[in-house]
Amino acid sequence: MAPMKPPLAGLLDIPTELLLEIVSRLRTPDLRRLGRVNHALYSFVGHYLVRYRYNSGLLSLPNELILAIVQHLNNGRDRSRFARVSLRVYPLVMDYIVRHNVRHGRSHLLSYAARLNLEGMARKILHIGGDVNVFGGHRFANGIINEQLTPLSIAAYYGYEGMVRLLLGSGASRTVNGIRMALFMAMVEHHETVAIMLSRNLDLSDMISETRMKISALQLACREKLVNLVQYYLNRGSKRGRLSKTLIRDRSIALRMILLRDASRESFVKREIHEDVYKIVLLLLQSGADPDYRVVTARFVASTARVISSRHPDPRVRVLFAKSASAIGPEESSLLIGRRWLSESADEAVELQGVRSESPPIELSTFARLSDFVKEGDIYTFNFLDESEIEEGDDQGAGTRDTYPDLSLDDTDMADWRVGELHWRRRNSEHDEPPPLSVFPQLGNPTSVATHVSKDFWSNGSALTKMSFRPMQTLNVGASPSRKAEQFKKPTQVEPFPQLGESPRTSNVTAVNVWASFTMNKASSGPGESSRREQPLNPKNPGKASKKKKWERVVL
Amino acid sequence: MASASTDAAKVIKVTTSDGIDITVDRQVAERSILIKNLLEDLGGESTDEPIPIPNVNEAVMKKVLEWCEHHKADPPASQDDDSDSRKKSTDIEEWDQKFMQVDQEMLFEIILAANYLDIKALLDVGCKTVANMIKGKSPDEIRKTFNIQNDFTPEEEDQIRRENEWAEDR
Repeated sequence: MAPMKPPLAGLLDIPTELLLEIVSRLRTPDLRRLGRVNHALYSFVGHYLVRYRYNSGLLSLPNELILAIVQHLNNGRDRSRFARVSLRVYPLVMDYIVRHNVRHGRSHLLSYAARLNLEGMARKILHIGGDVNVFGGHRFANGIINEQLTPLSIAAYYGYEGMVRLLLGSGASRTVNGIRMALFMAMVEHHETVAIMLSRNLDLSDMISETRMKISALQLACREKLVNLVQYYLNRGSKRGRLSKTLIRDRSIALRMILLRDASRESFVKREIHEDVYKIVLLLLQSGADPDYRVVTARFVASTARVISSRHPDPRVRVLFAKSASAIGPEESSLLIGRRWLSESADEAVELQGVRSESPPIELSTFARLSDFVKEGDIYTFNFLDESEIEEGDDQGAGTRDTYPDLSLDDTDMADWRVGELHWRRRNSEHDEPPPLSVFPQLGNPTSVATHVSKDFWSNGSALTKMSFRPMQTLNVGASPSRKAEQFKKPTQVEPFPQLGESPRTSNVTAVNVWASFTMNKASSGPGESSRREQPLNPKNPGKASKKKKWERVVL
Repeated sequence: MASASTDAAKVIKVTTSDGIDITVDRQVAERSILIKNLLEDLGGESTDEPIPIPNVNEAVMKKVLEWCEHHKADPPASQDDDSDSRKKSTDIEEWDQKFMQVDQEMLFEIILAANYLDIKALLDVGCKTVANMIKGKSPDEIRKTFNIQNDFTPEEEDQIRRENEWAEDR
């Protein structure tokens, strides 16, 4: 299909003289814009500029003479300013500056380029042979200066994907002095894409830092609520087939960590929606994280993720945990929400040192017992069982409690109790609880475990006598507990709390027996009188009393 | 080389780009490595014939020769020390400073001529002079000094500003 008429004459078709005429009216920047149109115009403009625009004075000097002049400018600032005079000299002088920097300035300009996302400059420096892992001091927005940052860390901090890619492609090291600084920066600043890029070669069992921060990449990602990154890690972990123990532990800790971020420490759990937390928790639970994994350190025993979850502001998160343990019905999980004492130790658990693995669900078994008692419809049973559980926990910690000076309560705590809130620290709590049920508590026999556990507890009389460090408060417990609860509850209340009224004294034979063995132990360990005096400090009674109120409130 | 030494006192002629013949002492002219090598290549036979210097005009040539005359007794700069010490200092001899007090056009012509004639010391003086004119000035001031148009587009201006913030911070 031949054109019917000749094509219109374009700019490129007109004679050069005319083109020169046109071009002579343009300012240099416009001229260079014209040069960007196509290759023919580019070379035309290039020649034109050299011949007609850069034809006199300084700019007419050949490159080597300009460089000779630049060599006599002996500070970077003058060179840089000279470079900025004209585009005629800019590429030339910048090239000189960069080369000079690589040779004499240990390529610190690479850090600069990384900070400002100057890919062209960085590429040039790397091309010349700049040190891709040069340390550059960097001042963050908050004024903190870190002298130990590589360009990669800086680029990661700002989330410059292209720059990170470039630096990684140039062989930048991901670790600095054993710290995965770049990855850490990217995560803390929530640059997920960059973090994923930096995680390509990451061994999931590696810690972010071997020395300072014992936290795995997954845990940090959870702490920072990076959904995509968590998903990436989990996917990578699952590709390897069966989950290793360390991997599950890692995920369990991570689960705990993310819940800790938002778990309420106030008496009141505000209802909020945390979409990211919900997603991550769901992902973690789906990929093997154990909600009942317990972090145990030399100093304390942290509460499990399930316990913490009960204080989480997002109801969906709470429900997730209720679902994941099918033995717990909806009512129990709602009851859990109010039990803030269960999660009291949450805040200390952040420092994870000497984590030791532990056998399956402990909290689960507790709840199973609770549900069992619920069927009997007796609130006091709850009281009792909860308490026995608490006491057991303290039992275990009794030997070391001296190291926890803040176990005693302050006035506000007491006040809390008075209004029916249990509010005391359980640092040394619960790690040696009853023989755990299986992971699937519904398969176990909750009732039998409960009874068994309770007996176990009471037989631990000697340890109980040491519980006097606990604070107490005066509360009137006048209600008569159910038979079953009485059996175990009486002994603790009878002697030490005369002010609590007479009703609890009407105990049955079992209780008396237990108490007898109890006091015997006391006597052997110290004067009965002193133990009496100490006994009132025992918080289990206030706990009981307050809990009674609390449960009433909740149930009603 | 015997002939060279006997010819040392002789004068030679150079022809500038605008066709003017200039007579000059050979010793003075040999400050220019270009002329020196040329004369050595000729072997002293045709010293009467003027040497064509097509890149340098009369005015500039005279100026250059004036400098050569003044510095004819200088020891030739050794190849080694021209690397660092020469470049580092921007100190210029007083006579040279006065000598370089010319308009910019001439200054750059001298630099170009020194480069062409391969007179290292003169080239240095020229470059140092220009460098001293640049030092401590902002890009705008430099443009004014040398009558240079700002040829950056605004976007480019922004880019080069970002690429050079490091220089202004310190």
